[in-house]
Amino acid sequence: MPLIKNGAVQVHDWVFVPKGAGLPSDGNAVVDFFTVIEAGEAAFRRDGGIGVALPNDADLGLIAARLGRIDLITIDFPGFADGRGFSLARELRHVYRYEGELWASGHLIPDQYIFTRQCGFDAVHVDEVYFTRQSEADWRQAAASLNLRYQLSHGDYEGAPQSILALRKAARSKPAPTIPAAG
Amino acid sequence: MYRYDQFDQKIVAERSGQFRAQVARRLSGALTEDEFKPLRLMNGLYLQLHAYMLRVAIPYGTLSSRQMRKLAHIADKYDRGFGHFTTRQNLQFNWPKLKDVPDILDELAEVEMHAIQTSGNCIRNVTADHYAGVATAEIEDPRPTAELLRQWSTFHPEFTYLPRKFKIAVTGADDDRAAIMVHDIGLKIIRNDRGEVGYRVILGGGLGRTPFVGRIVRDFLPKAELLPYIEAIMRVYNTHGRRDNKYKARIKILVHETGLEDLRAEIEAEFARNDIAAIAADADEVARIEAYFAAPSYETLPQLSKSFEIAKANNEALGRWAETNLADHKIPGYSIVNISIKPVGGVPGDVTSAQMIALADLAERYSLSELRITHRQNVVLPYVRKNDLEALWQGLVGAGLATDNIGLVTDIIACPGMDYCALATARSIPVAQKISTTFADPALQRDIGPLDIKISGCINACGHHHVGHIGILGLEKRGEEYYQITLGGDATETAAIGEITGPGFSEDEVADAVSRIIDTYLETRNSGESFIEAYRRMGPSPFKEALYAPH
Repeated sequence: MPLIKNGAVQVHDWVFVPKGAGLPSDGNAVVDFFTVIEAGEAAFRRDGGIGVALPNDADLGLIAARLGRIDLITIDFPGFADGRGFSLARELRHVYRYEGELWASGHLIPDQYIFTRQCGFDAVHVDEVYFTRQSEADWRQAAASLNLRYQLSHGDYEGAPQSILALRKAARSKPAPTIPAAG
Repeated sequence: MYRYDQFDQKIVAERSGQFRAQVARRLSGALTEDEFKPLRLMNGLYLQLHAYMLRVAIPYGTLSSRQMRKLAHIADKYDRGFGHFTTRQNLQFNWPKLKDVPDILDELAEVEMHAIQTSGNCIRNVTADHYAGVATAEIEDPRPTAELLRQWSTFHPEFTYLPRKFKIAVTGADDDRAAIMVHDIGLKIIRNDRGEVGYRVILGGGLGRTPFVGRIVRDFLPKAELLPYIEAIMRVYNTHGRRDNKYKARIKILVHETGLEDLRAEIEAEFARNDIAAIAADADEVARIEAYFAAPSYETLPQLSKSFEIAKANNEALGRWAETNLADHKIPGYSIVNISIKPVGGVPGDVTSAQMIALADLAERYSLSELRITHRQNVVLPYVRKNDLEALWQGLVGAGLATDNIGLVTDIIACPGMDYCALATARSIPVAQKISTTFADPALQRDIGPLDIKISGCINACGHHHVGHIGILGLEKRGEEYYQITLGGDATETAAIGEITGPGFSEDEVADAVSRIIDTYLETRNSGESFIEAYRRMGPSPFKEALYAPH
């Protein structure tokens, strides 16, 4: 599954551990939510980064205490029209103050890239089958298609849409232009 | 009215460019039809029975003469010379070609218009009282709230892939002309005991397959907390709204299945854990928006216009029109003018490009270049001096727009039905035409008095049949269209869902069935009692008797 970040495919060394398989002793491993909850502290007593794959209806309270030690969270998008992952990402960032890496994973389309970033995702980890139809260039183009937003954003990155509200505020705080006296 | 600044303008222009690229990716096969569908819907583009349909947003129903002329131009250049006003204050073009749609969006952007989020499972065009700012009893103009919500909901990163569509309506008046009780969220601007202005928040109303009247979720929401509170509602809905069955995916079902008390607790908890100050609109930004809706400079005029009183007395047709189509304005010497888009025997809500131009010209001459589209599929000119009413009326007569039936039996709401719509199970337009022809006689219409007939061509209820005093729902059984009748519905502050009378009627029978209902009313009413009042007093029995008893 290709990882798309800042409009380009990125290389990563995360291994996705199939459900039911044991945790590898080292290396960066992404484990599913329920396995991590069951493994408890054991999941964190190994060499290498730990990632957690969340279903989009995960109860974050179950891992709240360990969030600070999780290096990567992926949130599943079972279908691109199912937008629960956007709210879950925002909750992770805003309510639980999760500061690790966050990927949107599964069926997403390029037109959602900007929204994923604004909700706090760092990257999109898209199923191969969708990536074959929508190339890197499509993702890059879609990522640049909107440069403004009206809402708060939970992630800042190069090329991110600018806040219209902030731009207006800045314009308001500038001193009014002096009008030269007639004559 | 609101004017785009450079940022509003740029975002709409970018959206049009984005859609152009999406169409190209659809045509190349990069996007499947399944993937393209929500994208085109969120740009107002439906695939209907015979062609694409483009739904253009008219935020809270307000538009300028310049914008109306652009709609006329689009109707002529890209469509078949007409458009259709909808029950959500929008305008639909019925025959655009897919390849032209990006160009149409560019043309709309030129006049500060768009088709953003007029469809799809997102927050739809926000609607408001069509008498906003000019109504006689209004706490505050609802349009600044609607515009704030329009901007906040535009491309909302979190709430664009919701379980289902989401509709918000706002009113600032006690007389509810915005049907706030049957929206996903209805907002009523109120003043509390301490004199502070805020909102009463109504949640979970809706029509469609399972109609509900909304319920009060927050009795008083301080004005400044609007966006954080709405975000809390949206987050609870996005997270917990059903996605397993599209007929159970609206928030009204979540309210019903969770229970109002439990859901309110969840919303309040979500609200409390958010950074209210960060999400709330900046007071300066609110003031910036409000300034666009400041009252125009009215002239000081006597309450009565002598010339108009004389003209009415000498012209029966003008007098009749004035009686039904004018509403009281908050400023002496001015009138709110309702222009009926329901000519007897015509298609409710349809206007030709020539009529659009006439409307634009008349608004420019007599109403400060501003028009409103109503959810009843009519047009309002909000700022007409009484001294100008006769001249305006002459202009309307010339354009075929002087139908004098606002609020009467022939002022029928109807969806496009099976003549256009891919979802329809029956035709709506011919039924509306037949009923309005049956009751064409102006004296008869006035004798019957205020009466809302609303017709939908399928269970999705775009024609609001559930809240018609007489509602008509077109269905299909074994290849035959038939029509179910409901009575006692009400879309206003006394909202009610109509009750089904019994077995349905064929297309040939339905106008006659409506006649029997109305005859029953005329025979049994007390003096001065309207149809809905009589229905409430007597209940459905006498009407059912008239419909179903063997004669």
